[in-house]
Amino acid sequence: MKKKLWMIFGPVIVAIAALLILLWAPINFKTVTPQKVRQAATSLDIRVLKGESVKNAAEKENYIPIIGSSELSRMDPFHPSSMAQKYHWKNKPFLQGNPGTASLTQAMNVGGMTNLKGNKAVFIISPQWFSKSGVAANAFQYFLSPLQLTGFILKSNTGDKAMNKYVASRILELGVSKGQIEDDALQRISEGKQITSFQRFYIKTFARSSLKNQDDLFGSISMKDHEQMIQKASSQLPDDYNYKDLNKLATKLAKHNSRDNDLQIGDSFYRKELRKRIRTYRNTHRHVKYTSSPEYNDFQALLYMFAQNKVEVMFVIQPINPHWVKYTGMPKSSIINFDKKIKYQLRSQGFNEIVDLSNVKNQNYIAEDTIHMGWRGWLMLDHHLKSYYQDKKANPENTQYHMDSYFLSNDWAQNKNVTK
Amino acid sequence: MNNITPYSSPHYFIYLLLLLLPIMIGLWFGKRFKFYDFIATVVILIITFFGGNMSQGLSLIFYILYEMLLVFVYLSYRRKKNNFWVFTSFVVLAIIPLVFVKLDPLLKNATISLFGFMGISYLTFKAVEIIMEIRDGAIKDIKPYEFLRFLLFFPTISSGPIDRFRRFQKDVVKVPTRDEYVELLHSGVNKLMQGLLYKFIIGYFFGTLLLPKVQILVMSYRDQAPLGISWALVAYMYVYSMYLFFDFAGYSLFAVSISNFMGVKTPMNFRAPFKSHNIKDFWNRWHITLSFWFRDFIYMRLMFTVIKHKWMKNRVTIANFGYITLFLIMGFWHGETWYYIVYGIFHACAMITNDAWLRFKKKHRKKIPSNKFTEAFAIFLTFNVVCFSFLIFSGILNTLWFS
Repeated sequence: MKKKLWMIFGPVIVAIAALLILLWAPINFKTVTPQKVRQAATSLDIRVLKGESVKNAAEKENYIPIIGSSELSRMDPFHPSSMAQKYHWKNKPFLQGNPGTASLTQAMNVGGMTNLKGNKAVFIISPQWFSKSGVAANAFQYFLSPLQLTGFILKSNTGDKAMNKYVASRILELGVSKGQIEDDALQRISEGKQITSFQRFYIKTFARSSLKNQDDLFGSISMKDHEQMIQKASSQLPDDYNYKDLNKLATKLAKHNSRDNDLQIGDSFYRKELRKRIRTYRNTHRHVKYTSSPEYNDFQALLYMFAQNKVEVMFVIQPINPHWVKYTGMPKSSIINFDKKIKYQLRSQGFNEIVDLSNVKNQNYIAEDTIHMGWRGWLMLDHHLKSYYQDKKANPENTQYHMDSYFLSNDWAQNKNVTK
Repeated sequence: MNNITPYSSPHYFIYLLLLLLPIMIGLWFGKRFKFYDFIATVVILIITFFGGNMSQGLSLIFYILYEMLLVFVYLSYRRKKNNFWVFTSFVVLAIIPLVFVKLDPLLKNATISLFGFMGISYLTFKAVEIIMEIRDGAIKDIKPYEFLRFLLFFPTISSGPIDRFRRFQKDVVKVPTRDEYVELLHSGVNKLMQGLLYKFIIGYFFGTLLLPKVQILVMSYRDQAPLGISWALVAYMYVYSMYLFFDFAGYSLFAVSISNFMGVKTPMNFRAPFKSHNIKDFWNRWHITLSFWFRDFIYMRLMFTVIKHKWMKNRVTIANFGYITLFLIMGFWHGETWYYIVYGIFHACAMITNDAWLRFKKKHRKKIPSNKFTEAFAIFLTFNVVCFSFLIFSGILNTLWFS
């Protein structure tokens, strides 16, 4: 009879034991290899964004992250990953961002990269994030990583209290729910209280340790692979780096690839997204303004995350295709005022490295389609990155940040004024 | 805390298995602890219905009291008299709460469904079965706690399989011998594991990973062809059919498995439905307890009434009339939308065509070949007809055309 019972329950018990070991045993599954890191650097797979182990491994190698959103997938020859490969930059870009990621998602992402401490990063800002309603709740929910969330909750007893309070209440406001205990902990943080010792115990011992093992085990298997795409892109570049020649090449390639329309929009994008309904966009952005948005507060949370780890950041303000601006009737003042406001928020707190591509003289082919930088836009950025990528350590002189919690206030987000 | 949908999360399984442990140990030693069974049922019902907003749980209590009142009033009436109209009114009264719940979304008026809770359909099927069998004289006596135990049997409370009172009663009054119970444990473990594979791996793959992507594709072809018909829609048809089967079959396996642990042999709901040779065969293999319930308590009784009163003479006409009524009722039961009703009519037509074909085949037996290839063709054809019906059922056409 005993044998019979064992035959019935034995396999189940073995399976459960194996599962418990995989999910909770404090084993360090070494699945992240240098090849994996190389693949992850251009993969843009959502698991890379939501995970931690690959990115933290990359910080120990020669990578500097470029954090942004959909523009990162515009992999033409002048994309930083392609340039870095062709011209053998000492450090390589590690791309982090997908269509729909904005400041708060990236704040959680940066919060999870513990090894970024004392290093450099590049951050690409999109003016479109700063719309009246801010980030869409479903996009934020989709990109929210349970692993990074547990990390945030456990670290909530350190760091800036106002920022923790803001982030916790914003996560709840955006309708995230990752379990009763996590939700309760967030609620406490949002009220400015410490999480209870039970919450800490549960989240540390059960939730986070399992999520960590899952990230180690599954975070980098069968990722999307863009290495060949980058290879193909970089093979179109000349062997010697000469900015003027490259600028000509960028114009030539861009011209060749945007013959369908006279808005300098890449053909493949135009055919797929615009051709049928281009007319519906005419003059639709006449009242668009990017100066009052909850995104300014989210962006401030991101700045806190950088500041806490003494990260040196190069901020890039992404250009909008000037022909598109004209077609949609967006007032020039919208972009100018946005520039002023975001730069004020950055500079007044000590973030002084800003590459503003929204405001250059010759804007031809600066964007690959409507609102995403490409071709000449990438090339202009590369020019700055080239020297920035010489060294991956932050220069302590450039990380003297003095944070101001006013930028977390509703007043700053909603006020149309571009300075305090 | 919020309601936990049965068999939907690891938490539910952990609570369930902990609660089951004393029952299983008891059965192992040849004992049923009636009082503990009752407590376990209450705990599970609280987890399922009373989390957060209590309205589901309160509805359940009122619904059960209402149905109990009907059954016991009818039982005492039936001991003395047997009037057809009294019987009919009791059946109608028993169904009314379900009808209200089904009509509710149509009226956009949240007030008429007094009894909205998950699984009301399945409890109604059980209650109506009891009333009908009391009339037949098949059920002569039933005690209140027996009625409650049958209706509230928690493994099957939210979505069946629909057991029958007398069959269920036979299992719960006796204790299985040690050998029988070991066999039940064996079957229970196998079904639990198979259910996990079906629902959480295969069903998840089709339903959560694939289906949304295919749906986006379907919608992207919306303006490209008349009625938005595209190959993506064909892909959607198969992916949805697979999802529907693996998700529901997985769920049903859990219900049977947990019943087995409690020493009850709840009937199976699916028997390799995609291997059916024709549509009639399909309904003997798909959602079996539901189609048998419809067969026994609607179709057969309708046939009997029509023949007894000589409303129609032709046997083919009677059968076809039965199919149309049966599948229309099934369509309305699924919900008051055009696609559920079209789904019902489609299946009625398929059954009528199938019967006609079988009659034709019988007459020309010598001329029609029957071999491995025709058999394979029959399975292929049936599978595609069924998948097409699920395409209607899925509601994607409604999204594609009208929203």
